[in-house]
Amino acid sequence: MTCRETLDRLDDLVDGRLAAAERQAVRSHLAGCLACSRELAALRRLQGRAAELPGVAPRRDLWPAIRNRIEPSAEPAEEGGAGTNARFAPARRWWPLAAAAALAVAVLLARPASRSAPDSRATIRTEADATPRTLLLETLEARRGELPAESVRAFESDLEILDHAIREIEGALEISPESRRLRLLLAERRQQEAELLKLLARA
Amino acid sequence: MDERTIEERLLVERASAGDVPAFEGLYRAHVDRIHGLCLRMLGDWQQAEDLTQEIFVKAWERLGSYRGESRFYTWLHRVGVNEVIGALRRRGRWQDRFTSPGDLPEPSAARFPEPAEGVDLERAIGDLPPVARLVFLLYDVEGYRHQEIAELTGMAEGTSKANLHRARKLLRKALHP
Amino acid sequence: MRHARLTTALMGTALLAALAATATADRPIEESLELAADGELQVEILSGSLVVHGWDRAEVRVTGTVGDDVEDLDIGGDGGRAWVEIDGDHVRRRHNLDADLEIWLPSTARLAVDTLSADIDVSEVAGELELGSVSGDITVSGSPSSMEAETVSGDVRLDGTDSRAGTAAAVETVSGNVQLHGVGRTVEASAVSGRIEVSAVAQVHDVGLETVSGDVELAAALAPGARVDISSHSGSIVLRLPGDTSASFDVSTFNGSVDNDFGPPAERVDRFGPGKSLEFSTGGGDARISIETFSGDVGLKRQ
Repeated sequence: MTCRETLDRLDDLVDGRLAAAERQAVRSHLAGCLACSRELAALRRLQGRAAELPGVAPRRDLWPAIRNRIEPSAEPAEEGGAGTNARFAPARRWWPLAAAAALAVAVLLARPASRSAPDSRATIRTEADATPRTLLLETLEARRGELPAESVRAFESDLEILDHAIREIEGALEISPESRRLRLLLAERRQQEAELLKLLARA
Repeated sequence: MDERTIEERLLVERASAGDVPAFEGLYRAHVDRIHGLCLRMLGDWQQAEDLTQEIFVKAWERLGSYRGESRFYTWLHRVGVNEVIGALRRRGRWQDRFTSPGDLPEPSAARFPEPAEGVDLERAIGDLPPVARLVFLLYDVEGYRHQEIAELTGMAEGTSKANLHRARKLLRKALHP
Repeated sequence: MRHARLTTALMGTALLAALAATATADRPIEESLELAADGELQVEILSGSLVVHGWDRAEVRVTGTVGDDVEDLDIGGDGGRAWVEIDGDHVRRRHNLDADLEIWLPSTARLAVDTLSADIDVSEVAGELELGSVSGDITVSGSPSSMEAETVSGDVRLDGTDSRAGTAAAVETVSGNVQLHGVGRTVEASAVSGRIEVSAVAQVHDVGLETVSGDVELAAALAPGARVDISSHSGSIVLRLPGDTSASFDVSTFNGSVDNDFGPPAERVDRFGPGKSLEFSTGGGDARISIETFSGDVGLKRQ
């Protein structure tokens, strides 16, 4: 057996997958080959270290957040209960969302009749200056407990991306205020933001 | 069956019945390993924390379906691995399910805790292409067999073996240049 | 290694002489209902998994398991419409509300699915699909006549490369990746950070794709008079068209580059600022293609 053939079989050797005959051939080669023996030793060392890799504690205690999701009784442990930004508890999957009259966007309100009646303790602001972004953030905050954390994180991150894009275009418009194409781009991104609100309401 | 196993069995039974403090006990016992896997795979503390939360919430919701056929840690770990793979798939260009490794964007550097010897290995693991990294962590660190990795991830057993081979080779090279 | 490492002492709990009997198990499901070939099936599940197959019987068959804590399980139909619905206040208590279902329905029926986190897998359905999830992935294979899909973070994938007429597709997502292979007639897709990749098997006459930071790739042949609109902020846009395409192109980018296989390499700099724009026609200028980005690069390639 050559070195190449032996090295190709080292993984199978340490994982116990070699048939007896092959194992014998590999061991014979190793007995007379320092280089391959060193490779085997390195592989075993790596395995040993891998098996000893420790767990890594999170930076903060995740238990309160977990407990709130599996059993959100009275008020969530780490948040104050009062105020217009009180979180929903118990959060349901659907509830109506009131749109600010000043917004051009129509936001989905009703839920199909077959689903449970929505809890109407929505505390979304409806003043004229509520922007799609504000509504999006408030909606997200209110629904945080019932949406998968991964989706919430993705949504927040993408909202940042969209917001950044809008600010970039606005910045460019300050330099080139006559640019029709920039205005079109800006309108499209704003429209996308409004659509996101509808999507979140439907989720 | 040793004392710890009996204790854990009791906690699992109580948690299955809705006992939240019992579930907290299970959480405390296993969070570091679950979080460690998430952190090593995602390379980002915040995402690892979010995913760890998600895993334990799912475990809570599914405790009803754990029948003690495997060790609790193994069962919990399967929930965890599923979530990790889901998170990886959503995060980047996970096109044809493991046939084109290295497509994912590089994760942000995760700073691991101290042990000087360990830092080299952690960094080397973090530098592995994502698919090879996952197989290495599942096989050599967590102890799954290739057949189990194949079932968990949807890749063929042969792909799993090939990725393990690749991971070990890259790691050996990185640790002993 | 596989053995559990109990790094901290398990929470001390007094041994109780009697523990509540807690052996909960998933309940198996096996139901069949009539459904007309042109009927509609609606499925609503919170979590778990859903696999749907089309078949040639005028019947819906549902198998699988639902978690023992599912209280509100509704499977029924009136011959023209059928439904499988699982509902529940899933946040309030610990429970297993997973539904892991496999469903067969008439291949020409309409299918509507709504879920929070279940992955959805549909195959061999030729009718219309309307699929919504938050984090679940959506995978469709075969050639549905149309497909609407919506997710927040789930991926959406259509594998319809064997189709002849192509699938009309409309997909909306936030961060999911979108891969639509086998579209035809119309395609709409919108994402923020998700990547959008579309390839058509039949001519398209209406295409609208937008992302913010995700990349976009479209490979298609255009029907006469087609309209194609692609917009992104920083994502790159690559358009692959047959060499004999007849279209008028309007491409603009503020900061990105334009790489054009189709003719005029000249880029006319917008006189109002650093932007670049490129307008030209190929063939008879029949279709209308409009591409704009802020900083994303644009590539027009011959297929």
